[in-house]
Amino acid sequence: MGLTQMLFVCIVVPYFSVQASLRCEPEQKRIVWSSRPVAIFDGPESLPRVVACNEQAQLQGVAVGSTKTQAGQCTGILLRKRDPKQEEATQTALVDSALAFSPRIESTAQGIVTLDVEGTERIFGPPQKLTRALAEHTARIGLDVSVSAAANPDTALLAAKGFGGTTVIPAGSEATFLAHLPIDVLPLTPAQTEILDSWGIRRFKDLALLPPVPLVERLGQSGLHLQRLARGEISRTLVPVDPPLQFVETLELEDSVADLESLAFVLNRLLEQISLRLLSRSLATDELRLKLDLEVFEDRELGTRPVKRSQQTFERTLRLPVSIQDTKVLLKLLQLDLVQHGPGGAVKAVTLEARPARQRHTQGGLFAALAPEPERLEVTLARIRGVVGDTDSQGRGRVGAAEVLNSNRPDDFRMNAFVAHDLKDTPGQSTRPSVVMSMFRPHLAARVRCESGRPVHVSFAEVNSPVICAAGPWMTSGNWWKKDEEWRREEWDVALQLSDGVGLYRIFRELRQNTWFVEGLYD
Amino acid sequence: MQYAELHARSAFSFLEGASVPEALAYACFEKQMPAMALLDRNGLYGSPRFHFAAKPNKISAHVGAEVSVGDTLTAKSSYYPLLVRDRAGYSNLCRLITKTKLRAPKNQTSAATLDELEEHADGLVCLTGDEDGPLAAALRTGGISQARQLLERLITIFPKGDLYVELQRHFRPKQEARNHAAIELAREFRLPLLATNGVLYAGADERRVLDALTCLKHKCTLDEAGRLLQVNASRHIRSGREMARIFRDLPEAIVNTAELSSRLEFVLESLGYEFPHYPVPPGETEISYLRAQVDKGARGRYQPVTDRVRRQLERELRLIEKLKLAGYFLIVWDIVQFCRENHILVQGRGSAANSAVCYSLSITAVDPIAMDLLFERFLSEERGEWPDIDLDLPSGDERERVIQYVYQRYGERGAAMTANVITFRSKLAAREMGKVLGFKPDALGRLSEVASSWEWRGPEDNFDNYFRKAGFDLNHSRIACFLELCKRVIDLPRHLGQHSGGMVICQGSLDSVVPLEPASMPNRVVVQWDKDDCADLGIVKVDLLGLGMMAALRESIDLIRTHYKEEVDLAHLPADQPDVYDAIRKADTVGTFQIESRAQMASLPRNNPQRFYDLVVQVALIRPGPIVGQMTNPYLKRRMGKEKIIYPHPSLVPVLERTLGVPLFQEQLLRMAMICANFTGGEAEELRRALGHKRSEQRMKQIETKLRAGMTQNRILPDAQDKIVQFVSSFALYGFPESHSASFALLAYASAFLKVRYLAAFTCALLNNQPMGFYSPSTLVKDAQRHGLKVRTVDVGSSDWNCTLEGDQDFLSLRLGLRYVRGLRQSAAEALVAARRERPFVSISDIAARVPQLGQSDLRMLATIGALNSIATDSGARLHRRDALWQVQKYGTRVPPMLEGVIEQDTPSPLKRMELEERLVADFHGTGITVGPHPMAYRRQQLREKGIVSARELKQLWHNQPAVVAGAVITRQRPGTAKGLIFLTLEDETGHANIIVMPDVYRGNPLVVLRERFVCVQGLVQNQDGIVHLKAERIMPLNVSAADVASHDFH
Repeated sequence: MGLTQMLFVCIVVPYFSVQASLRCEPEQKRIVWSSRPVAIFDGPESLPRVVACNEQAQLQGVAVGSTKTQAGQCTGILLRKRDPKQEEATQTALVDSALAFSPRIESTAQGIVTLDVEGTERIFGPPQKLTRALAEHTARIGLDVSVSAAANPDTALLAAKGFGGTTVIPAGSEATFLAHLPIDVLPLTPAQTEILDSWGIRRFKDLALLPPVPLVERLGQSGLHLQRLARGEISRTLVPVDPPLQFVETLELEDSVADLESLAFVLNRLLEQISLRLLSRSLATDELRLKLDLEVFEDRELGTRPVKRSQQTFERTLRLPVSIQDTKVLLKLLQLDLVQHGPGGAVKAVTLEARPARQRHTQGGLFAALAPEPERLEVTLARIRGVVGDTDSQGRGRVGAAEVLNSNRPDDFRMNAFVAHDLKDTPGQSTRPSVVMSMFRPHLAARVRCESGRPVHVSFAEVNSPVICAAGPWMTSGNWWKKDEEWRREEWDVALQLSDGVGLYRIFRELRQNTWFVEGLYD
Repeated sequence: MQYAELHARSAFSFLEGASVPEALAYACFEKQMPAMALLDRNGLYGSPRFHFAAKPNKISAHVGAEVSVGDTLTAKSSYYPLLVRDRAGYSNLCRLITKTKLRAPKNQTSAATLDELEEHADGLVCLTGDEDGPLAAALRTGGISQARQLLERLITIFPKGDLYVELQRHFRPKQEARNHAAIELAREFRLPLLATNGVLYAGADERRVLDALTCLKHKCTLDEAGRLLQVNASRHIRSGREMARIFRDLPEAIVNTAELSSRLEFVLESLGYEFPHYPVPPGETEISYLRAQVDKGARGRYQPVTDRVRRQLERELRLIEKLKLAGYFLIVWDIVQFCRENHILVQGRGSAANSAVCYSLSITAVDPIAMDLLFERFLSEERGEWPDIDLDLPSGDERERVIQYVYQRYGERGAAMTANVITFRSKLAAREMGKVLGFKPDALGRLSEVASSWEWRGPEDNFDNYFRKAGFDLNHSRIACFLELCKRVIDLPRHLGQHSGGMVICQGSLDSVVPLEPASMPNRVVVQWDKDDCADLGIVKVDLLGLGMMAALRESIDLIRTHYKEEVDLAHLPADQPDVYDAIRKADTVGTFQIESRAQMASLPRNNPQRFYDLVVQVALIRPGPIVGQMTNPYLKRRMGKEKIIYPHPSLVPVLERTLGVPLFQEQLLRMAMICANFTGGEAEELRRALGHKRSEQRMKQIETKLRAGMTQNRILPDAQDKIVQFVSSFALYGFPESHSASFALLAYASAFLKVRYLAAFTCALLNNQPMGFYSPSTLVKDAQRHGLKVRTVDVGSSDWNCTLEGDQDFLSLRLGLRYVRGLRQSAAEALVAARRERPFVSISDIAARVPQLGQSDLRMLATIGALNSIATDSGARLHRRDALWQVQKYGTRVPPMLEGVIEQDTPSPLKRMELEERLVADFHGTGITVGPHPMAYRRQQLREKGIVSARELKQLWHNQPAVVAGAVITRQRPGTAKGLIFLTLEDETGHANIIVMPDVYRGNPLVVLRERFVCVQGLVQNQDGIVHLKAERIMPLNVSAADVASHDFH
């Protein structure tokens, strides 16, 4: 068995989702749980379903697709919610482990990594040793894997999937080694599975022995490909992992910075670095993530009072309506945000991450009305936001473009990001005169006296006046299917005698609480 | 101030109203509303129910509809509320709706034109409508000037007294602005104002239901619906006082409602319906012609025609003449004649079998005189309603031919099918309300799966439990909403379907009696009312029902003629044949009509039928009525001589003698009332109806009082009175008419006769008319095989689409047809048969080339089940299934042009033969049937070693002996009358074993009981009177085969 022929090693993590879920547990616990039935569930909160489970769970009748309730009936089962982040992190950890053994790594699929190990014998020893070392190494990151070495990546993969532990397949013996593997280890389509099943093809050797030409006549080139896989004859090149597209810059400060001006100086440096890197890849950013490590002050007092620690990190995320690459604009936006949301402590380290996005390549229409540049508009909006605040008492944005929602609820709107459009004349705009009402936000609490169900006296803020006349009631109610958002209102339009004339107001009573408010003033 | 609500919609506006008419009527009663008009959208769907709910509460039920009329100015349509003033108006409204409905395919809306409205305006009153009405539409699109134009046009259509400007106040500013404009216009045109509340639901709470239905209509969720939903909950029924308060500034709008209500004189009872006259030869009247036909028929039926027969016929004919029903009988006779001339089997069932006239006219096949059946059950003077004749026809094409004959004979607007209102049931409610609340598809699927429809409703079978089982949290507010909505929508109409066979026929045009609309089947129209509404309003219907067994009998007779060279006439089958009754007594009745179910089989040996009347009793015995009324067991005990025959009163001996003192039939009940309490025939029938499905406590009390009074008059002692009252009240609801039972018993006897004498033909016909009956085709085949029939596999060289008989009279075998090949289309199969008739196939390549309709999946399926094995290879050797599978994989795909027309010879494949188990799995997967040994037969030796007995051996064991039996589960039942017990039937190569599963055993192994195909049951033998059951103590899954053996599950 010569090393020169051993080129590829494949690592497969059986029951990947289950292992990913248990990986970060303390070792003792993980070992105990691994021997128990474990199922991972996902889906809507109202009806979660099993998306993966280990062998022990399968033996007790749990299958992918069972509901959580059904799986829960299995004795001693551990049920866990699927966490895609955990799975992503596990895959990254798997890739990292493999990188310790070879620079050419392919992240073949979730839970599968293939390594090109040509020329590593002098470092890691013969393939048997290498595969064992890999298994041990991955065991340290909490994964129980199958590792297989072969002269081509696909044989290594099939062997790792089909056999447990570590396997080394000498070059030239692929077909013999793979012969007894069940056919479902091959990457079959449902149609191929059905055909091969009807033919009684159950193991690799059954497929390997079929005459190739009639096979092509029946299953096409894909059939031949499968047969060659079963014989261990396929050779392909790896698709190595690309270095991740990350634009993160971190700076630890020698002396912590407490004022925004000094911090802006640091931010500018980081932004310039990031902008350069973005520029080199013809990219811009549509989201900035700022993480500030703050100086920790321990508030220790003598006596019995416990230790109180101030917050250690401060994070802000700036989502931009357009992709921007201009350092000045980005800095200005960061500054304006920090003015409004100060970190609350001295900064000792800054991490800035930009999410890459395509650059903007648009040009305004020749005849379009003039609109401010999006970058400048965003800065202006940020300034306004700094003055008026982000959201109102009902959690709605204060700055942006208002959109009236399709709802019966009075004054139901949301604020969208302000995006300049072509301001062409839109046909069908109403030219009818209409009454305009200035809304009080928040609504003004009022005291209303009624007689025979009609308001006769209203007082709110500075106003305390009899009702001259009233129109109504206008009744609205809705969202009855949402406990927290249901509303029921009785509205009146009232004319009040004010010191400087007559004022027309919209008042309403929230029927659930039986409280009166002034909603607006008719202009 | 009197106020009448003259604009209301019910749930019969299908998703545009939220309360059933009865709920609206009840709300009117509560609010002391003297009158209400139900104006459903484009239909009178809910009017009969509203009429019958309002009448006893002394509420005037006005009739009308919101009719969609297109506006020529805006090309949009709006809903015109039209109220019926008189009968002419009613006819006009029906015709207008029919015209628009029949113009568009089913479920597509079509609007009338203003000209059509004008044409049909006589007798109608028009309102200007709500926000969907014409005035609002005009104001919206063209302001006051367009509204003015509209009113000018409407005044020309409806004279001023018949046009009202409608005002509604739902506390909305826009509506109020519209009202101002409407009032201004009304003053200008001097039109009267009319206040309505535009009712869409009975109580304010039901606004939620309407919101949910609105979402269903617009296919969106509540969260997405936005302004489609109701603004508030004010469109419910308001009392006159409330309405007067709301319209206190416009009192005349309220006063006008009472004034208009008084002018609407039409009530639904005066429909103007007339049954068509039968065209009789010159010089004849309908009755004279009927007499002649009855006389002629009676001479054939009764040989000789005795005095008793003559008296009965005369009595019936006199009543028919008095009730002017001769035309009706002639029309039904005419349909039967058509069937006879076209060799279509037909047999009347239901209460018509009580009539000697029907028997003489060959409408029914049971002699009511010989069987002493009660004529009053069919027809009575007092009842004042039309008789009900149901005709059983072979299901499928032949029934369709008869339906089309009726259409042709009475014209498109002269005959129609009755409707079938599809209502929300638990599964549909759960799915639809889940959709509305935005649940994800998989959650919805799971929900409707869990909303179990087992027949038995245990205490735990309710919505709360369905959802808990599905893993939903009942404390979640959205789930709570869901539950509430589900409960509320249950029983609300969802859409209109078509009744399977009810036809209404009318003299003149049916469309002036009830609106018609297109059915989903081509060439069919359907009336807007269901059969009960039609019956309640005195519209005669003839039920043309499809019966699978009739089709099977018809086909059996043809096969017997061809293959046995014998002629069988169902009307003259040799009666009381001992071999047939032997088989019935032994419960060897798989595949027969009505007496094949497991419960029937279990009672057959006890009832021990010897003659036809015993079969009549047998059919009626296993019914919810006798079971719930606890009549079945006493009867069987008396039949076996284990219980003394006693009668509640000596006067009842003649009535109950035939059924050993136990009342089993509705007729007996009627006679009991007549004899004991001096009821007339009509009163007795009235009693039956009063105790029927819609029974009320009050009516029950009245009837009991009347019964007791009669009995006291006849000096019946209180004890006997109690017993009789108990019989009457517990039994009336479910009792089975004797005449009906007799009709069914005829078919039961005929099917048993054919099974015993002509097994091959009967089995073949049964297999060609599936699905029907209690058992799957696999069970039918296995049963026939046990009786010695040779069944051959599907073979492309011999099989037709249908199953066929092969061989000669001495040894017939059954060849399975291509219809049993899963997924094979009939057109492809017929193309294959046609190609084979030209010349036999020489290879698989030949089949693929000559029958391009066969896709690759078809060829693969044929190969899998061995249907291609008979095609010889080059060397002359037979192919095996895998050889064929190997060959077919080459074909069925596009052939390169160069190879077109090249027929290759089949060659053996490199694949191994299928093993036994593989063949079994393939047979069941591909056809649902195996003609080889039963899967259990292969394991018999191993089972025996484990002490597991066969189904045949089980029958030899003693009562209470422990035993273990195993088999394929072929039926699962949880009958409503069995208090949660589950019955399984296991099949093995020796026959069937009956298992009883008590609720606690079921709860211990629910999945094994419900899902496993093969089970092993340990328990105690229940051997009583030769009936053997195994009462399960343990049920275990059994690993026999992966074959997908079908079970017929009644749950």
